[in-house]
Amino acid sequence: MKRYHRASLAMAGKHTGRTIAAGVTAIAAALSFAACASPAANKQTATTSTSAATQDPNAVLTVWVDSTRQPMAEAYQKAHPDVKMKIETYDGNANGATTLQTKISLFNRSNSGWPDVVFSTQVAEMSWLTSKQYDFPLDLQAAGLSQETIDGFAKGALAPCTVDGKTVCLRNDMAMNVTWYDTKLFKQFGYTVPTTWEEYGELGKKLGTEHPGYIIGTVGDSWGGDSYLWPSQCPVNQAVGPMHVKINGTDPKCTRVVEMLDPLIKNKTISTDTVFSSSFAKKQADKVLMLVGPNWYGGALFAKGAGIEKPAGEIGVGKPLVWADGTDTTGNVGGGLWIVSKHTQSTKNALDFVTWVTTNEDNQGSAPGYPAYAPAAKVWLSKLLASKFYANDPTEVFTAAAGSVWDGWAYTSYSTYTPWTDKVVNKLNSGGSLADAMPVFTTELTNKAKAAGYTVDQ
Amino acid sequence: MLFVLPYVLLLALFGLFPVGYAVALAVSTPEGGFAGVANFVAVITDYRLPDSLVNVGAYVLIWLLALMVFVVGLALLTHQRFHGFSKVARFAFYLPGALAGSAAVLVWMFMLDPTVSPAAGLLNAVGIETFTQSTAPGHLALIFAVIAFWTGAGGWIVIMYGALNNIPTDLVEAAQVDGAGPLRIAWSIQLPLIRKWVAYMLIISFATGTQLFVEPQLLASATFGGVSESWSVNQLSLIYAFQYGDFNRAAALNVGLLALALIVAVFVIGKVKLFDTEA
Amino acid sequence: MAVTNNALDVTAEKTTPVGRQQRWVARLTPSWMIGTALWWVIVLGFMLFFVVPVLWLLLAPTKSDHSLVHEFWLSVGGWTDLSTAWNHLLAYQDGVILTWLGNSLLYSLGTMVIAVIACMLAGYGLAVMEFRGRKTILLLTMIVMMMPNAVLVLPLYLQAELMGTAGTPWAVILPMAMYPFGVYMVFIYYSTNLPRSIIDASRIDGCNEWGTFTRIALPLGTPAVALVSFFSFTSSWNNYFLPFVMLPQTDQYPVTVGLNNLLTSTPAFNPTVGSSGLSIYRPELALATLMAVVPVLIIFLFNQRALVSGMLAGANKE
Repeated sequence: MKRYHRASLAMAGKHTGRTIAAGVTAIAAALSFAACASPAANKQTATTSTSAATQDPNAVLTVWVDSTRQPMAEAYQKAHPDVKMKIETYDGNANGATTLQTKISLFNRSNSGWPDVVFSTQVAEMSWLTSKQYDFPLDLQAAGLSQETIDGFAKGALAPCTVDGKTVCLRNDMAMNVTWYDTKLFKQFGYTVPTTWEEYGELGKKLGTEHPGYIIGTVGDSWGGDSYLWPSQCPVNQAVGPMHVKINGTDPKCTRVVEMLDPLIKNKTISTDTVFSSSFAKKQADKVLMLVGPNWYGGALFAKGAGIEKPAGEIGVGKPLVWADGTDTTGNVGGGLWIVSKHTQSTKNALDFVTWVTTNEDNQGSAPGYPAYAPAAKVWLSKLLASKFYANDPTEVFTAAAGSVWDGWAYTSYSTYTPWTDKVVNKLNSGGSLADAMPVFTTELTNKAKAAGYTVDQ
Repeated sequence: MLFVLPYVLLLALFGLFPVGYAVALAVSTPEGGFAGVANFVAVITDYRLPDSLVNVGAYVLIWLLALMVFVVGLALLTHQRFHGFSKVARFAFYLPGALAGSAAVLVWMFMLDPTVSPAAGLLNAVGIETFTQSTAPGHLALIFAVIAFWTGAGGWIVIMYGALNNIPTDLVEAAQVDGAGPLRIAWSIQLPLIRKWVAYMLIISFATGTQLFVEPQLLASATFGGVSESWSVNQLSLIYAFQYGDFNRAAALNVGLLALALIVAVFVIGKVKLFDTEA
Repeated sequence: MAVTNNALDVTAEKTTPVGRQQRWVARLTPSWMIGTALWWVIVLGFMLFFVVPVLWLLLAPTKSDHSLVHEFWLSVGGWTDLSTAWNHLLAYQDGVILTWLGNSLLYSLGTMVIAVIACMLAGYGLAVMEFRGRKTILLLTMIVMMMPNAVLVLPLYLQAELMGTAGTPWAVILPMAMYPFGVYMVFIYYSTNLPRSIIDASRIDGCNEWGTFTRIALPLGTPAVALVSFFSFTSSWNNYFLPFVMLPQTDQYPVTVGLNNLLTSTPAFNPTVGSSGLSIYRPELALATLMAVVPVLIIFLFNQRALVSGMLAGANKE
């Protein structure tokens, strides 16, 4: 009785087992078929036409911002209560996150879900957003953006937004490099603030012997290349065309930087630690004579509550250093972008939004970063002057610097920051010199560029 | 078997279908045509793959060793005596397991920074003065293994402890009567009887270890690139998928990882006869 | 039973059932003492390793960002710093952290309930019944368990669009309820702890399969239920990538995705937000992390007992 019972159960089991296996295969097959038959598979060959999607006057304007820019979006809603808006905060694609890449790929594949306006913290975003696979930004001029507005932006501010002659985004803020110096220490040591790179190098050598432990800069940040190589117009990341770069670290415009920096790295007047590390805050905070860095160091580094906060009136800003041969350009580290989706169903509102948010003087005047739109920048600077934080008048310095960013540096879809930290800073920390590290750096850049599909000139 | 039906339905929908789709992606071109092994070839010749394989290999080795020795060891130790305190100990072991990936990395960024870490003395003793030095490339496999162990060991210790509890006490007592010490009992009686669980732990840990992603990714952004963004193989596959938008190559890489994990799993399952129904 | 206080008297009744105290006393040999010392060193050492970072996390919200960096790690901050951190955290996007926690709870409980039902049924069936396709299912389960997540995300997303669940909690709950890890746990549990004879005994007694399951296997399987519910809950709670992809709106995020957003708003980790007035510094981040961790710890405490109990020996004396 027992054996029969068990056997029949076993047989029933075998039978249902087979049924289950068959069922599973059927379901899997059906779903795969459905997926393949969907239009998703064909999305890769989407046209790159600039025409917007069908307009819907009742469409809700969906705006993606990071938490810092959320007040701007809310200010717009307040000023335009009749516009139906939905404000979503996300990580701003910051810190190497690939949020936008992920989401837009998925939206493209399922043919729906795109936001109308996106803010990104990555200044090089257009390098991949305009590619065939993503094909996201709307041609703003074709959609109605006036030449007058475009002209109002600082010189070079819209360079990262110009692709194939078209303006496909608006720049939110500038991040041009200036020099930062501690007036108290300069007075104490009796030095004068350098105005050329050659003087900078001499100052470092002198400082190393007279006051060891003090620094005039650091190459330990991941944007070290932006701060020192970019101003020199070093072709280690030079833009040649779309998906086309020149990577050459042996050019005299690069070697002059390396030769200037190596003795300073050796005598430790140039640090290899990043300014935002706790070790820098603890050990270096009182020993910063000078720094070369972007304009947002003011709020992020020196202001009250920041890493190496200084009292008001101590820190001065100077114009970017120049080379004796006349190279007077500076570098840039960051700057956010406002992008309109080409799939938007409310083009007029979207365009109006990005224009307002970048040009409105009240909005940008109280923004955390230096506005890219020149008239708004004037308002911003007057507020900065009124705060009396800097030892000197920052107005002329920032304005001049904003207009002198070298436009030959490439904005690439691959990061030029990670190779700097990975190959250069690590090598410096293990006792190597910048001269040793440069070939490794350029090889890594070349590999990355080629893997991302770029053509590389040497 | 109606018993297995709910699970099998879920398995088909959310397990087999995605895996099948991924396999299909791995052998297709972006336009949908058949690509044969082209994606696999492209992936194998990527200049970053050898380094990431070595990295992940070192990490998995350290981690599996630590798991095998320390998890089983700690489970045995806390099972053997001081039952009251052992409960507290097991809770302590598990505490970190409650922290999700990014939470754990946040805590360890402080633990690894000699300026603020409780372990500053230890770090300074081996010559590490800054966070950048701490996270130098040569240290990373060990660091990630430590973080993974810190978050993961507790859960496995709980499981092993439960497994040990299910060993009939008469077996252990009989052995004690025969004069066997705790080491001998562990080796001859307890370990063989929990071997299915140990095998399971190794298989799962090998698979999740080769898929290491969160820790190197977060440290990469925390060190502003000091840790390579393609340190692990899974990070590389994400670069394919979401930086280049190349899902086909990402799928090829993942299928490769899957195949590797499966080979190991099949080997271990065979050895331990995991699929048999009787203990 | 002869009671002796002589610590070295090892002849005391070894072969008869002796009281615990006497066994203890009989073991006070030097080797035993070394063993105990070693036991304490090892166990305490590991406890320190596991606990110290958590202790740091517990103390961090009570300090200001400045003291976190500059003061001794074990220093206890003050009530004011803690309430400042709390206020800053709750001011962030109008207390979205609480919404995130609620979402995590919803998704994880949903996953847990479905997973436990499916896993208990399936694990039992696989362990106890012989049927064609059994090994296939086990093998397929293993394959699925080992597939790296990243590429699964795309087909899961497309499927959610197809099924109409995209952007709803189901898009997150259902895929995570497919919990192969749990099936294996139950399978191993039943295959090591449920002797054939018990099943046969119940069949002889006239129970059908369902009866056997509900009346015998399930009560004996409480540790397995505890294990599966606990691990499925925590794995769902800690999941980042799936909700990140499936859920478009900030107020749908679980706390893992939310924490990441918080991280990119912290100047220490994203210097460009330095002067934005968001007031999210490391103490606030630590506080948010703690809030994300506490529910899991509570569940662990409740399950501790069930997780470690369960002995089957003696249930099958024929």
